[in-house]
Amino acid sequence: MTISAMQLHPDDTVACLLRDHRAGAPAQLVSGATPVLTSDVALGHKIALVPIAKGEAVVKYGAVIGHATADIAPGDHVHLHNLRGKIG
Amino acid sequence: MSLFQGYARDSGRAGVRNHLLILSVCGLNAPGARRVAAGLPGAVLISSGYGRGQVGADKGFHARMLRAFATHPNTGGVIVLAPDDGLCAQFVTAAQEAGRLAQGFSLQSHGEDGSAMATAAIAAGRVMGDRLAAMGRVPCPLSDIVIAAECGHSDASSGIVTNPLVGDLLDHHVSEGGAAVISETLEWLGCEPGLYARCVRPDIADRLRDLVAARHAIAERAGHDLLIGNPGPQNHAGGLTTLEEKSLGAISKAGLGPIRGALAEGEPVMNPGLHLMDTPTLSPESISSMVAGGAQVVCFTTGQGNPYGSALSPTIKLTGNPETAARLPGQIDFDASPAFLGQVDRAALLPGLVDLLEKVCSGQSVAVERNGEGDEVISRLGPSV
Repeated sequence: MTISAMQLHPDDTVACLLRDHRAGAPAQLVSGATPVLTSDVALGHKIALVPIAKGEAVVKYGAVIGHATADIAPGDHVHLHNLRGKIG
Repeated sequence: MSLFQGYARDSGRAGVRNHLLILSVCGLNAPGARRVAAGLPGAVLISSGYGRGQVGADKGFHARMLRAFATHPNTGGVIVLAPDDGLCAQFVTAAQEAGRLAQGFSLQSHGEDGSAMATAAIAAGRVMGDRLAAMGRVPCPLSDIVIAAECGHSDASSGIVTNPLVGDLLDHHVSEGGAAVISETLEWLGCEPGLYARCVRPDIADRLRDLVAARHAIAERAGHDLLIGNPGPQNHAGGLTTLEEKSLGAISKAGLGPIRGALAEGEPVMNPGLHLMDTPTLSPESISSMVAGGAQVVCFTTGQGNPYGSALSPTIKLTGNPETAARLPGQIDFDASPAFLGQVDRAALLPGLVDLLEKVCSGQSVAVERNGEGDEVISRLGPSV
């Protein structure tokens, strides 16, 4: 099966999409299917692999890239509307 | 122990090339140096536009960089061009002491006649080039290699696939006893605490902190706010949300290993392991600084394409963007797009990249060499008087 998303580090709570995805189906990681996407998400963008509560750290590359500004459900698009960095 | 076919040097690390270097150490010689280069096909030209009226740190840095090129592992012999005999002798002596063939040609010793100087330099360069070509490669340990990693004209494929793949290569190379260096200080913005934590000793973290602070101070004095518009609208559209995320994507080309050295611009990589070098962000300045630090090979990732590379150190150009790989087959040495397309796991690409590295170190040409897109430049650290 074609891999359609990438988790860059085992600790990551988000995965990057390798192509545009529609809502209602999962993306495919090397390690298995992601949660079902809750909206359409474009190539290069991130989806949540686990629930992330408002205020919790979002982890990519095994490091904190910012904190959730709203509760994030598995399969949600993670971007400017629900994630803010510490400095930019 | 992994080996490559290289050029053993009397002192220092082995070379992956045996270049004839035309080193023009002052701008007064630059036009003549171009004529010399035209008369010596295959030679590498490094030409400074400066060399007089420099003061303080800038003067010392300029001379150190030129000496580093003259004594670089990939330099087999050097033709030094300078306005006067004294300046010429400095670099000829440095190269000879490092076991390199070296001859100097000054305007002074040719009656201030640039054409006469160029004619004599070309004749000597032909003889030296023949001697260099007659030297054979011998088995050398791959642990002698210092890999520099750089990224330029990046896109989503860079942070997701290509930079982490180069990071895999650096981790692998360091695990085999080799050395690696990454640079471009401002691309670490927001991730510095994680880098300090990766340093193997507190004094290395302190030095890194000082170098980062000094580079940021340059931007602040010039009135640049590094945080405004960073990441920019293009980054956001491509899926990057935060500055930390953007910087982590850039430094993912350093791999995940411990940081064993924090270096000032152009400072030599003395030990095995991963090093961070404080440099400007522009690739020519960044790459030349790492090459001067001893890197004999460069891995340069790109998203949208970028023809530039080092003149002295073969620069392996990688992309994870399938459109770029298809559009620029004459520029891309390693196509990582199968991982970006989800056809293979990134880990499956590493053996091919390790193999390419060994082949390039053993003499296989890269696109930058075939296309004549290599150069070296020396940063200016201050104004001249």
